[in-house]
This record gives sequence, C-alpha cells and structure tokens, in this order.
Amino acid sequence: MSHETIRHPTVTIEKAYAASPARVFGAWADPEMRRIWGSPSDEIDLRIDAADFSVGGEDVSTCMMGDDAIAIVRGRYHDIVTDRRIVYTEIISSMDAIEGACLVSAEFQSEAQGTRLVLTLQTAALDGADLLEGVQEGWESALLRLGDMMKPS
Amino acid sequence: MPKYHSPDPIALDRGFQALADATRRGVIAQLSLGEASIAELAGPYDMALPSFLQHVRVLESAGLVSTRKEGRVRRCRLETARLAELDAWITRYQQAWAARLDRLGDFLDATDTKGNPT
Repeated sequence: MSHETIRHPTVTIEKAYAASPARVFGAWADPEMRRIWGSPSDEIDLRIDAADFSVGGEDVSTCMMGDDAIAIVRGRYHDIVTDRRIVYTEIISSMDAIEGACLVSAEFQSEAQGTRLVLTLQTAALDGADLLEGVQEGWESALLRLGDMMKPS
Repeated sequence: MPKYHSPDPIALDRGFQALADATRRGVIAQLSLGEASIAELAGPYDMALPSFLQHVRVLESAGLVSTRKEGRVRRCRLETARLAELDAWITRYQQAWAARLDRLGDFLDATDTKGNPT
C-alpha cells in the first residue's frame, strides 16, 4: 500500500472549568483520573497500559470496546510545567496500522471563575491504514452521542 | 479545521496535463464510482497494457489517483476519496478530544480534590 497522503490540520479547542488549574492539571497527571474522563465515548473504556507522567515518560492506553481492543494510543511527554502546561505527542494506531500522530499542547490558564483550558492539536493524519474501516461502525453510534454532548448546554 | 492553501502551480500543471487526455479522463470517471483494478480499468480500451499503465502513472504522479498492490492485483482509487477518509478521521479525532474535555468537566464537577466522588 502506498503511504502518500498526509493531512496536517491544526485545531485549538478552548474550554472553561469551574475548578482551579491545579485540579484540572491534576486530572491530566493522574492516570486513574485520566482513565475515567479520557475515554473518547461512552462505549469505549480506556485501559492504561503504561503511565509515566514525566518529561520523556511514556504513556500507553488501549481503547477497549467490551473485550475488544480497537485502538492504541502511545503518548510521550515532552514538556510539563506543573499547573501550567503539558506538551506531548501521541501516536494513534488501529490494531494493524498507524493512523495518525498528534502534538498535543494543553495550557491551563487561571481565570476568575476557575481555569481556561486551551488545547491545541497539531495532527498528521496518515493514510495506509484502512482508516478505521472495521471500527467505523462502532464509532458512528459513539459519534452521535458525541454530537449530543457537544451541543452547548 | 483544515485551511485552504493557494494551489501549488506545479501540481496544477501536472493535474491539467493529466486530464488533457480522453483515456485518463475515462479512468477518473470510472474511479469516481469506486476502486478498481488495473485490469478492470483497462477493459474498455483497445490498448496494450503497458501503454495503459503509462496513463495510470501519469494520473498517479499528478496525485489524482493512487495505486496499491493486493496480492497479484494492482488496485486504483481516486485520491480525493483518500483525502475524504483522512478528513473523516481528523473529524473523529477532534470530536473525540472535544468530548473528552466535556467529560473532564463532568469529572471535576463530580469529584473532590483527591478525585473522590463528592
């Protein structure tokens, strides 16, 4: 299979939380907390296979749908400033091929009401994997829920 | 979301050259219906296979078509379809992050500083 096509989108997502930067940062740093909120959808449970929250440390999680592993995310931390920011890379693979890589920058900004989280995703989406073909069905129902969740409350 | 860049003039020239031929336009039209093998694409043309392959290579180098080997069969697809797949993946990835941040908010609302339920 030729690996010729790459897309390089960059997107920034901002979100305000009523909690302090220390609490929001803490929820990223702690693997057990991250396991709870880090799942991409209700149907998927995260299994944390490695969690080394330190510069150079590796972080591996597997997306499980029931007993089936459907994707693996390998992260490596490059910059950690306590309560301020985290910069890391993550490599997203299906069970047979790499699908994409992303430089994730999370900035935890203190504001009067709590924390503004500014998340920048600089992604390289790769072809060559049969992109989620086997998984797509499962994702589609999950995505309907995501759409509901993302409606402004 | 992906931005539109001003088109690369060399890529444009290649694209237009690739399309300045009835056989190659025919291949594009056929691939717009879905992936096909070289043999399926060559079927309608009264042309030696090496000449036909030459046309496929022109389309490939223009980035309009990609090919891959499946066993002994070489299959072709329109590159625009790949880009659409990649874009769909990107959308899923970005939506997954947006959903994650929502969950983080729910988690923070429902727990104390030690992460225990309140």
